[in-house]
Amino acid sequence: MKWGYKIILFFTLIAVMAPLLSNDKPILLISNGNLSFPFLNEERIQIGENDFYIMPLIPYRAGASDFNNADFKSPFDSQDNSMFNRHWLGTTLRGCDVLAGIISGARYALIVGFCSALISLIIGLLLGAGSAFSNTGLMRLSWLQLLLLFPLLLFDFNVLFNVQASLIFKVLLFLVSIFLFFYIGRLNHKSTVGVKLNFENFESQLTILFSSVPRLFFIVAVMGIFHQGILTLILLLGITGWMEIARVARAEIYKIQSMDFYAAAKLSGASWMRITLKQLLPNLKPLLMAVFAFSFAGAIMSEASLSFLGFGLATDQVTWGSLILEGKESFHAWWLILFPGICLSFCLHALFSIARSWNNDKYSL
Amino acid sequence: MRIISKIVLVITSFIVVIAFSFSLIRYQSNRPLQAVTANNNFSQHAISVYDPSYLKLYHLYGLDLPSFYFSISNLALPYSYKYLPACDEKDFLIYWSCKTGSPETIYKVYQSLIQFHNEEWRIPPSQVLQLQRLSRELIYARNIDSLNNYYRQYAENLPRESLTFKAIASVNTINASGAWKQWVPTFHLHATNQFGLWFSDWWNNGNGIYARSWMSKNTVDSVIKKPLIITLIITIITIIVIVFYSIVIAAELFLNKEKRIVDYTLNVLQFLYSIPAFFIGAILVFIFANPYQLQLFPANFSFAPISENDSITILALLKSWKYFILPVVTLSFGAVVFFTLMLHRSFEEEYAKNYVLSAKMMGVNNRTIVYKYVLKNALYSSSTFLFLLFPALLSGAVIVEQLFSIAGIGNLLITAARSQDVPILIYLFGLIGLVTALCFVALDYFQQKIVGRLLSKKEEKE
Amino acid sequence: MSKSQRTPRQFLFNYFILILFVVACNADKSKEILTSNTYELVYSLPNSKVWDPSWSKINEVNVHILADPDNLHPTNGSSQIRDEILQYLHCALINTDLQHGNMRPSICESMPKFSDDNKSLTFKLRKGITWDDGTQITASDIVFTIKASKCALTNNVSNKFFFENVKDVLIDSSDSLKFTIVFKSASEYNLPMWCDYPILQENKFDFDNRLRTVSINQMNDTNFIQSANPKLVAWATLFNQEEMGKNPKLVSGLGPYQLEKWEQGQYISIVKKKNHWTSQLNDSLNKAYPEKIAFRIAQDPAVQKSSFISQLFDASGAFPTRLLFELQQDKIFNKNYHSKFVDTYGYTYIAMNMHPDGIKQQLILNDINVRKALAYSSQIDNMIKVVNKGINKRVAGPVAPLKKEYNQDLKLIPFDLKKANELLDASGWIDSDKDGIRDKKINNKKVSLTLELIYFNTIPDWKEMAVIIAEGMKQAGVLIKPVACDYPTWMEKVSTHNYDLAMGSWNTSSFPEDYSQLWSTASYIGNGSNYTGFGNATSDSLINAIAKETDAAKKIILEKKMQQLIYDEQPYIFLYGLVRRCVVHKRFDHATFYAERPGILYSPLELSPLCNKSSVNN
Repeated sequence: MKWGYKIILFFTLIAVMAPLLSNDKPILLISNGNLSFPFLNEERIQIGENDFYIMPLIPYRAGASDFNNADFKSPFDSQDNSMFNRHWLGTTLRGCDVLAGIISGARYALIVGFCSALISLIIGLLLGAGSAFSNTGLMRLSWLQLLLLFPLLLFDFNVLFNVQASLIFKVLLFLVSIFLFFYIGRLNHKSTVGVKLNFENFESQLTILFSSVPRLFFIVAVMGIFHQGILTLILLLGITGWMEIARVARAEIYKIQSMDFYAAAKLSGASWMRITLKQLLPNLKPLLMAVFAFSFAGAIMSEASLSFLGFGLATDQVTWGSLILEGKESFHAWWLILFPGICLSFCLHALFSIARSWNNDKYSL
Repeated sequence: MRIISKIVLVITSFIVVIAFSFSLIRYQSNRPLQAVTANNNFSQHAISVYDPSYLKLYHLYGLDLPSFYFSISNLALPYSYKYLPACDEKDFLIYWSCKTGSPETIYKVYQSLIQFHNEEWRIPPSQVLQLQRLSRELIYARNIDSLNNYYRQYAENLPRESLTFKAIASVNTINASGAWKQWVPTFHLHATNQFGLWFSDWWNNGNGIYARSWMSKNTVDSVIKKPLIITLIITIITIIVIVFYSIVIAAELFLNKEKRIVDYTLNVLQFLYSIPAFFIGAILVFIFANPYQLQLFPANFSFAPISENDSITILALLKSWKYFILPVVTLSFGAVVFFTLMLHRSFEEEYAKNYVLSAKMMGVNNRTIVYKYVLKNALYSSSTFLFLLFPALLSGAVIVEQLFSIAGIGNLLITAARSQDVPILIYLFGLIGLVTALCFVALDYFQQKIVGRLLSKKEEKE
Repeated sequence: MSKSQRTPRQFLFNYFILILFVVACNADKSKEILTSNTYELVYSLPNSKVWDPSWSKINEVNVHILADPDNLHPTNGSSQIRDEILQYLHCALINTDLQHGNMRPSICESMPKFSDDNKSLTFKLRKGITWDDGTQITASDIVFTIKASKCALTNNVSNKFFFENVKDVLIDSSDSLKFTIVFKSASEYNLPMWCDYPILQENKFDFDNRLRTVSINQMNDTNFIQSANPKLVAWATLFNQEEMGKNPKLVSGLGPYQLEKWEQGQYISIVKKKNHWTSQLNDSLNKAYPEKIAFRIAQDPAVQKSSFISQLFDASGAFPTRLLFELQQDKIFNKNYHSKFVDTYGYTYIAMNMHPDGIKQQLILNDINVRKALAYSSQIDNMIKVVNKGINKRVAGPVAPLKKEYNQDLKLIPFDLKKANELLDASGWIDSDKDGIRDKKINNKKVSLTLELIYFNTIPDWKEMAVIIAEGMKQAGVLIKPVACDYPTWMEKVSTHNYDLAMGSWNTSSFPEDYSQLWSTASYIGNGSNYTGFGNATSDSLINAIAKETDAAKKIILEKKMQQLIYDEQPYIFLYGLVRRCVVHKRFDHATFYAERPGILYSPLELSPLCNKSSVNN
């Protein structure tokens, strides 16, 4: 199933090269003997008659109007431009090039999908692993820590949200306080008095709590109230997508812990770090890759759905979902629905097949 | 016992979710008063923060209360300054405090504000209006010096008995040795707070600011009732469709596995799975409901007889069968594909087991084996999917309802989110969260009791 | 799963089939733009001569509306659609004469007469006008209406302002139908305030005569609320209840129709009364033909389109422009419907904050050169062409070309980047850091020429409009950030002058233009509708002069001067005149479209007599 990777690679290349592929500025401009690359910056340029320049393959920026070809020109309609400047996949109401829109859409889909899946992976892995290890008695709180917990929480909250100081200072203070908390735990490491932290229960409660929040509902409600933007979207998608990863990670770590090679490594006195790096992670990798690909696909799907509902990125950012939304509003413009839709399902399909190739047991799809 | 603890967990998590979303929304949305006083139509002006009655209404609706049962603050920053209305006086105080520089002045000003918090008016409304006029006039002749001048005048003209005057006076008298105070966190408990008010309001179907929709001004219950029923109907029909079709397709594919078409069908199913629901829906609308072309099925649910009346009758439901086709197909698409493939795999697993072999030996028809024995066991093993289907469909309904303009809860959510109708948003959010959590509990119960018992019975038999 | 090996080739094949299927469904479209440059007040449409068998013979009008009214309370409410529905349920003393753009008597015998000092108005009611229960209307009903509207205890938000000027009502001792309204001061609103204002039945809303215990004069007292007796407060609470504006039994008045049912978010239906006073009077003016008028809500353009193609709706005044244009190309639609784009008195604009405070808003738009440059760099023609199919006409100033006082000397500002660049260069805005956006040092601080443009998120087209405007200005080196707001936010930002650029629309009527609302400095200081901060001593005195001038010819000269003043200062970028999209089904006769609000009257629509003939033939 190598073709899944090929497709993702293809989309990634398109996303990386997006400014080179579709732009309303020349890639290269020789004006009065000076060589410049106008596509790199935002400066307004004027091209003289004698200048030599090379335009990108698609000489349109995503979302830029073209009034000569406005009002939903289909790919087969006669267009008011030369053969090379044709809108190959048609235009939208304002005459925006659909192909340029698809390229920009690929960019946003991959950025949003990857970043939010990464956030989910980090949260899920931390919680899942924490839950799995808490059972082994590695994590415990001393009474001193317990006593300090509540005041410290209060203090940190106050520092982060109420005190008037610079942000860096606040964050530093926060980190110091966390370090202090764990350092106190190490001080009476030997003493048997303390509370075993049943993190597993906490994790399962948290998982149920987050699972009971319908993802789309939550994000629509929050996006309706907060400022719409790519960062908010990535964070929200990341925060709402870690449950499956945590569940899988926990189960898998349990399984690994019960295996012989793990016990052998532990008995031989290998350090915690070494066990994690040499034993745990390599065995977790296939499953994590599969789950990561799945949450990647899920995030792309959610982003497209949200853009389709009008709660996605900001107005000037063209995504696959926003193109389909525009197509839905006008019946005849099939090219607005079809091409972004095909890209979207190709991308999802590739990710699903990657997930499948990593894990043939747990996920049949 | 386990179930009870689960339910307790669900209820607590439900309350936590609601409280969280409430605080989040309350924190961000700074203008519930404007939203309440404005109309959804374009003609009426929302109440302005400069309106003298603004403060009065603000207090009346309890918006100057803390938003939750507890709050964390510090000695220098009393909790309640956050809930002062956004009026000119607050602007002035913040401006003035910022002018004087250090955070402790802010503390002192608000400290003294809290001291007189129970006084009814800080400045007489008429005077507020006069001062605002003055400010506007100065802003009109715009420069920053004039703003400074304005605030200086504001301070000079303050009546001696006014709270702000006292606040400034007290700031001047307190010495400036309180800088350490902001590092000392304090923990406040609030018996009366906005969340509590909202909850009791909602519970009693009251008249408070959070118990009624900010847009239609109706009680939240009455707004949500009909959309909920419509969405439930669609979801239930969809579940039936999904279960029926996936069983039939999976079984038939399994029975005819020698034929070449089966391979191709499986392939097509795989392909269809990666198509998102809204893309499928948009294409279905384009093909089947296009006014230029085939108008086989209506795509507009709002003309269905079921959405005409406030009470839903069976007759209206039957009459509007045509309107259900496209939404149900769109909604069930992904799930049918997923469930078919899942069942197909379970069939393969189950079919390799001993009881099938023995049935075959006894000469039972292959079709009977699949439909009677294999199916039952395959369904048990994929029951997880069925329980989680319901919440997933509720989420999917958001998109489908947008596509076919069905007046269900998904549509309600979108309109409420667009117009920042906070009461509806919180209610919907809590409701769906509760339903989902209950589904989890039911799944847990099902797996514990029924599947477990069946398995143990089977083991006994064997 | 390993049974079926999926290859990209097979998937490509699947997609190929899908593409074929979709492309096969593609409809071909041809269109041409037909626009005229004439302005007309009334369009009378011909009655249809043929009866199409597909037309419905039910004598009901299904009217398409966009949203529910806020309520149908006779006095407490404000939405436009409410006013439109209420005129079928209630009668007023005087009506708007849509035909001529002024007022005409409705339930009074003739137009009321002003006294010499312009401080009192004398009305005489017509005979034979009865309420639903058969009782005759008298002057005491009018007194009750005034009291209920004026009383500080009732939530009459939008009209209370006008009633504050009412001092007293004197009922003629000899004739119970004749009365005189006395005002505190002479004002130009004294007559128009009665236009289309519903008259309430005292016996129905105040059966135990609680309001008779207080006089109108007592209501003028500022301490009225504090001193009001509990009985009165109880009455007011009852009167303010939402039930009053929703319950079909309570929502009815003198009008020819009564409310049948209101299904929130779906429809409002009103039915013709069986024994209405007009039926005995043989009155051609107030004649109502349809048995039922149903106002149905449809917001989604796709829904609107399919329902008009399948003839589910009979009339509409709120169609999206682009959709109606598209439908007008359709033969079947044209066969079934009269449709027309009717110019109205309203217009859309981009307001500019002329008095930025230098803290939240940078000191950019206080410079007239920047404002002019922004006007020169907005692609309004292209915007109209793309978003509105070139149907709306551009306006140059604040007065609609439909009016006599419209100043024809004002030239439309063209899209001229060269001019814009020159103006910006002259003001010292230069792109010094080469990021494509101009900047300037103000008070030793580098300020980049970046502005926020706020617009309503409720109308989808406005997003496109904002983007097109922003694109044009970007070419001149001005960065515009379009920000969608809901209405309360927009209103709050604009009325507290906390904005840079704001896209909005302004509706006026055929009545004399009131310049003080938008352009006087008093309106700016008092948080009124002067959002931009336009105005100085000259303009204020000119506004006063216009209000006081009685001679029509002199007034027009002054008004033209005022328009020139506004045009020169450029507080707004004027975009285009609003157009009403009127549609009426051809099975109804006497279809007429008006420039004045509400644009179409549904009660005079009569089912074509051809309907019965065709049934005979069949």
